[in-house]
Amino acid sequence: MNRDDTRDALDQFLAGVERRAYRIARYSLGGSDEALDVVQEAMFRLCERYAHRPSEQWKPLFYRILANAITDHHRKTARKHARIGGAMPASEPGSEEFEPSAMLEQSELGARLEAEIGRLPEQQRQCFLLRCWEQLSVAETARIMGISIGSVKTHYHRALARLGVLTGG
Amino acid sequence: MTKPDQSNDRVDSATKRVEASLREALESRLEALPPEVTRRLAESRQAALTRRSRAYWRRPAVGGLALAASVLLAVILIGQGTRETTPGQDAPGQHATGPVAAEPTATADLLILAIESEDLDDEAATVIQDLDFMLWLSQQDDLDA
Repeated sequence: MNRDDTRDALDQFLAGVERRAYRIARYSLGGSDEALDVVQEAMFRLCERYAHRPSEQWKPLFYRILANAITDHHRKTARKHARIGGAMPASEPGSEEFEPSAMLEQSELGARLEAEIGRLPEQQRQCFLLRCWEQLSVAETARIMGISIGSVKTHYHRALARLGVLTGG
Repeated sequence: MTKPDQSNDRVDSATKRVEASLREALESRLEALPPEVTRRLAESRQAALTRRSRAYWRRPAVGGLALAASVLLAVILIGQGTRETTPGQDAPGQHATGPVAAEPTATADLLILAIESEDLDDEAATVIQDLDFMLWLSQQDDLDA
C-alpha cells in the first residue's frame, strides 16, 4: 500500500470507528471533552506509530490505545482529586450531551441502555462494548484489555445478563 | 426430552438475539451525536492524518542519515582496506592505477547510489557531500605521503 492509499485507508478506518470510540470513552469518562481528548489521542498514536502495520491490526490496536488512554485518564483524575482532597465527580454518560428534543427522538431502549452501561463496572463495560458492539473476538478483547480469555467471558456474561434484561431477553 | 445440543443452540440464538437488540439500540444512539461532537471528531481525524503525513516526511531524514552513516562506514572500510594493501607495495608512481584508483570508483558508486536514493533529504545530502570532501582530502594526503 503506498502512502496515499494508506492515508485513505486510515481515514476510512477512523471515520468508521470514531463515533463508537467516542461513545465508549464517554461511557467511561462521563464528560464530552474528556472523551474527545482521549479519542484524539488514540487517533494520533495509531497514525503516528502503527499506520505501517497491516490494516487488519488497526482495530485491536486502536482500541488497545483507547483503553490505555481511558485508564491513564482515570489515574490522572484520581491523583488530581486525591491531591485536592475532593471526591471524584460522578460519571453520567449522556447527561449533558443531548437536547431534550433530541432525547425524545432516541429510542427508549437506547437511553435506558446507555444509563445502565454507565453503571456497569469498568471491565464489564469494556468487555461488553468491545465484544457486543465492536464484535471483536474473545481473544482480541482479552489482548486489548490485557486480561485472560476466561475473565473476558465472565465479564461479558455478567454484563450481558444485566443489560439483556432491558431487552426482555 | 430436549437434547443438550438443541438446548445450547437455543441459548446461543437467544444470546445472539439479545446482542443484536443491544447493538441496534447502541447504533441508534450514534445517530443522535450532536453536530459539534461529530465535527470535532472529524477534525481530530484530519489532524491525526496530517501528523502522520508529517511523520512520514520526517522518516526520510532518519533514513537518509542512516544511508549517510552507511556510506561513511563504507568509505572508512574501503579506505582502511586500501591503506593496508598499498603502502610499500606500489611504487609512488603507481598509485594512480593501483588499488587507490579503484577506491574513488567504488566510493563514487556508493555516493551515486545514495544521492539517487529517494530516502535522501537535504540534510543527508549535505552529510554525504561532506563525506565526499573528506574522502577527496584523504586521497590528497595519500598522494602527498
